[in-house]
Amino acid sequence: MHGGLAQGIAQALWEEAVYDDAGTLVSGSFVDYLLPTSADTISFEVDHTTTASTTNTLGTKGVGEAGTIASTPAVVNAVVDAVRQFGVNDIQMPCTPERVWRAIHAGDGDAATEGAAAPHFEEDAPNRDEGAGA
Amino acid sequence: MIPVQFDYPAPTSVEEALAALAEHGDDAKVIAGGQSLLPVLRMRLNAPEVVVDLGGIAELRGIREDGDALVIGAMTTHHDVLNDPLVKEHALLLVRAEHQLADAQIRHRGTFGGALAHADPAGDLGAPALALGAEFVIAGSGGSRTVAADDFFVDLFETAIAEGELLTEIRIPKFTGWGAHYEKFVRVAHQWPIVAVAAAVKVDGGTISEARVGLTNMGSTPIRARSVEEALVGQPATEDAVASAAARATEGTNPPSDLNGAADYRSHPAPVLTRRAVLAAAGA
Repeated sequence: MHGGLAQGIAQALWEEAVYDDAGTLVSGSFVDYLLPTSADTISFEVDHTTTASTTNTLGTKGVGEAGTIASTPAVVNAVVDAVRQFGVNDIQMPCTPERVWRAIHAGDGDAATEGAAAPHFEEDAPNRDEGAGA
Repeated sequence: MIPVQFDYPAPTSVEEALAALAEHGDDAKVIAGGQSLLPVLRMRLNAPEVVVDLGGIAELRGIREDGDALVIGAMTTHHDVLNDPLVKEHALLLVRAEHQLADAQIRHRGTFGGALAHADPAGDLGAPALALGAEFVIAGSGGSRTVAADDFFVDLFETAIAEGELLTEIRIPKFTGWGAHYEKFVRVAHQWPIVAVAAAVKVDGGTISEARVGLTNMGSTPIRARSVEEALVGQPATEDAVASAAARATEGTNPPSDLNGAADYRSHPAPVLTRRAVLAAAGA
């Protein structure tokens, strides 16, 4: 589970196959193709729902990749949400420091502008829009 | 993934090593801790016919005091520099930088002199060595010469060490009582810095009386941020005063563009990291 979560988060923040204009893979080694280690990820709290599979006799299910699926959009959405007040409504994965910086500078600085991302959380959620312009 | 075959002399003295280099000329490469050269050999980015191993030369290892300077043998490992009480007392900036250099395994194999001689502009030791005004003792067939830090770093992966010469020791003036910090910006831990800043300051009664600032990966060599240093002197060690001086961190820089960031992007973190490094060094 932890590995799957780390893989999904890595896709959101680090892992990228970069090609140059001639079609050569330039992130071809782990010097350039970034993988997180335990120093880069967070502690996970894992909970369980228990529903036996009905399609095999043991009632078992695969879980290894469960964490990869939702963790990627969760992190990207968190990054975009963090800079919404600068008028940012999308950042291409992986959300590198440079991409976030460019998105902030390309933004129109007004989250209320038409076309900003539709809120995907409770309108009265805490901390949203605080520190605009900071 | 396997290097081209090479001969492997393993001298036990500087004299023998210089003789091996003289014999083989530019067919030879020197290996210190091998943390940069071995990947280069394995990927066949370089294929020297002779690899001269300095690992057996005891006289190149160790740290000692010599008057107003610390003398660090070129083959002293990062781990030994990091944990040396003399370095902590007189050159705290080196401890701060070594602490963030790669990971523990590499710090046990890689050497202080090897990293500086490799002269990777993203290497973590160039900026601190430059900021502290290190002197580089280089041995050749005609004896030893000493090169100032300002003249040691020539270009990308290029230093004042000429063919047939060896870096034997690095002399660091004592900065006893100075605060120091190395602020390193990476995307994942243990990586080369996208940008990093080495700062050492002397604070007297809340006022910065002297400052040394070096920049990592803001040009083809480490860069001394002299205009930041000048702007810091006489200023209070406060957020506003330091931020104002740190804004000059991009003066005279020529940052590279690579997968971790374009040149114009690197100009953004440089002043930010400079402010953080100086404030941390000042204990503010």
